[in-house]
Amino acid sequence: MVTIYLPDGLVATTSAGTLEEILLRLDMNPYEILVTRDGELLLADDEVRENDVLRATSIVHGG
Amino acid sequence: MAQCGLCEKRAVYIDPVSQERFCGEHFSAWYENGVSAAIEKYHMIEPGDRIAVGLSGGKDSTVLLTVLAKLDLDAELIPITVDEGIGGYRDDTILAATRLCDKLGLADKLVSFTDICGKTLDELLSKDPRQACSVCGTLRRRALNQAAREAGATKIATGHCLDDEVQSVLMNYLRGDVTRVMQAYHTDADTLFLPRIKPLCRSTERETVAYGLVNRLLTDLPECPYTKYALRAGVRTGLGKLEYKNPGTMMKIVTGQEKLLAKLGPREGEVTAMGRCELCGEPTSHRLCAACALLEKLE
Repeated sequence: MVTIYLPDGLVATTSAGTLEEILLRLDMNPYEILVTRDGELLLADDEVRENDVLRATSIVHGG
Repeated sequence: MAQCGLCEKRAVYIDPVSQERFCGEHFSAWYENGVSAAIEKYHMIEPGDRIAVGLSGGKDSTVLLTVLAKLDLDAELIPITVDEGIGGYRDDTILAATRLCDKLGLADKLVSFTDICGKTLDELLSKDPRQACSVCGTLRRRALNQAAREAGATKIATGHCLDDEVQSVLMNYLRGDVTRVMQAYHTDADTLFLPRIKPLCRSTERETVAYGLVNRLLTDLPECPYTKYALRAGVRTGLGKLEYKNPGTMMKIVTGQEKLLAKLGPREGEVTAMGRCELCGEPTSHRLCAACALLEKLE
C-alpha cells in the first residue's frame, strides 16, 4: 500500500498508480495539492509504487 | 522519470500551460524571473524604496520575503509580522517568521492587535466568530499600515498571488460591486496610506508553494482556526477546479480584467476626497475609518 500524510494531519492509504490517479481517488483536486516523496516534489504523471510514503501539502491558505 | 527541459536532472515541476518541465534549480530560477518581471511590469519598486514586507510566517509571505531578498533590488526590506492574537495558531507562525528573518539577516518588527486596539482577535470575536476574516483583514491592514509608516517604509509588499487576485475579481462581480470591479491597481489617495505592492501577483499559488517546497522553506504549521468562516472558500474551490480542467484560466481572468480597466481609461477626478478619522486620525472618506467603525460595532 501507499501511505499519504494528508494536509489536515490525517493519514490515508491507497494502492499504487500515478500521482494524479491517487489524488483523484482520494477526492483531492490535483491543482490544490503538491506531493513530495523523500522531500522531492512529484509530477502528476509520476508513478507511485507500493510502500511509497508521500507527504501532501495543500496550496490553499486561510483568509 | 521525466527530465528537466533545460538539463539532465529529474523534473519536479511542470508548467501546466506551456508544459515546460523544470528541475528544482531551473524551476526556482523560472519562478524568480516571473516575480522580477511582475515587479518591473507594474513599476512596483524604485531605487531607494524602503519596502515593508507583511510576513505572517505562512507559505506565501515566506516565499515573498525570500525571493525579494534574493533579487538584486536597490531597496531596503523591513519585515513586519502582525500578531492578531489567535490562540493555538499564531505563536508557531511568528516563530517561523522570526527564524526566516534570522536566516536572511533581517530584523523582524512585530505589531499586535493588542497594540492597536487593546484586544486580541480571539477576544474581539468571542461573541460572533463568523465575521472573523473581515474583522481580521481590516485590523491587519491598519496594523500593517501603521507599523510600516512608523518604520519609515515607502511601500508595503504583501504575499498575494495570482489566485488571490482572481478570487477578488470574481467576488466583486458576484457581489455586484461595480466600484470595486473598476478599481485600478493603486487607489489609495492619501499619503498616510502607503502604496501596496504585490510582487507575487502573476505567480500562481501552486507555483509559490512549489517554490517553498523545492527550496525547503516551509515547515508544517497549524491552519488558522477561523479559516472555516472565510467567505472566499467557495470561489477558491470553484476556481481551483476550473484551473485543473483548463490550465491558464486564472491568468486569462486577470488579463481580461486589465484589458477592461484599460478600455475604461484613467479615472481622474473620481478619487474620493480623504479626511481624517475622528477617533484615530487615520485617513478615511467617512467620519470613522474602517477599523474604528468596526471596533465601535464590536463594542
